[in-house]
Amino acid sequence: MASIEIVRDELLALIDGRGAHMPFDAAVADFPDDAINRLPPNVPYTPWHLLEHIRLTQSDLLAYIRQVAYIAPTWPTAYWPARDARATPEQFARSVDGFRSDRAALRELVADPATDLLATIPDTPGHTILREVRLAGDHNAYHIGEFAILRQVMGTWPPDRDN
Amino acid sequence: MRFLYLAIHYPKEDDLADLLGAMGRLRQALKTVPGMLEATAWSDGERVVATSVWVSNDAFVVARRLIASAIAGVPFQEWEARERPAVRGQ
Repeated sequence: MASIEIVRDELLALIDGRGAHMPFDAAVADFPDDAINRLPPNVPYTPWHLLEHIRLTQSDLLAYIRQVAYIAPTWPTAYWPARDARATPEQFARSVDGFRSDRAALRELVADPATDLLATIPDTPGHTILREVRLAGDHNAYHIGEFAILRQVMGTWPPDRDN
Repeated sequence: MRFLYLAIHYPKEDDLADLLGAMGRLRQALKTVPGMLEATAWSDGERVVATSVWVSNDAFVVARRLIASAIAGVPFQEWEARERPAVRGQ
């Protein structure tokens, strides 16, 4: 297999969260409504804040790759909800769906053999799709792991979950 | 045509962090090498996928001595659980 196709497969595995990382869907499964807006001990953001941060960042990287009228958002306000923002269970579910939708779009882009992973994205300082997908995968893996640890700390895993 | 160098490392569990650290230092060392566009590495928790993108195959060939110098002394063989496959080209 050509190296570029191996890299394509590796990036798809990174997007899917395969390997030793916890997949997104497992991390958010059966999250209790009453904990969505609860602050974990010594943490200044809620599970929904963190979930939104994961979604917003992936969404931004996808937009950066697509470069359709891209304007760089302001850090950190555009990447995190306001500290006092609260979500309903429906908003929490929309955040989960939004992440999945963008992940599927990213996946489709990478899986397309017509996508040149090594080409420079226009109007960027030499950044490639390979670079941006790797960033998205690393960012997701880091914060999804964090989300899972917060669940452990908060005691929000289902009681019958096999650890 | 751009050139891709890919290596997949299989570090021993205890040496994963060391290997990732070495990859980070190599990335820094390669930053100023002519013809190198970007280098990156990521791990799935078990393996490390390392890539570098070059303006051309020729640029990579010219840089090989610098790369060898940058990784001289890095005990890859000691850290890795098995031989790593390296693939070059598009």
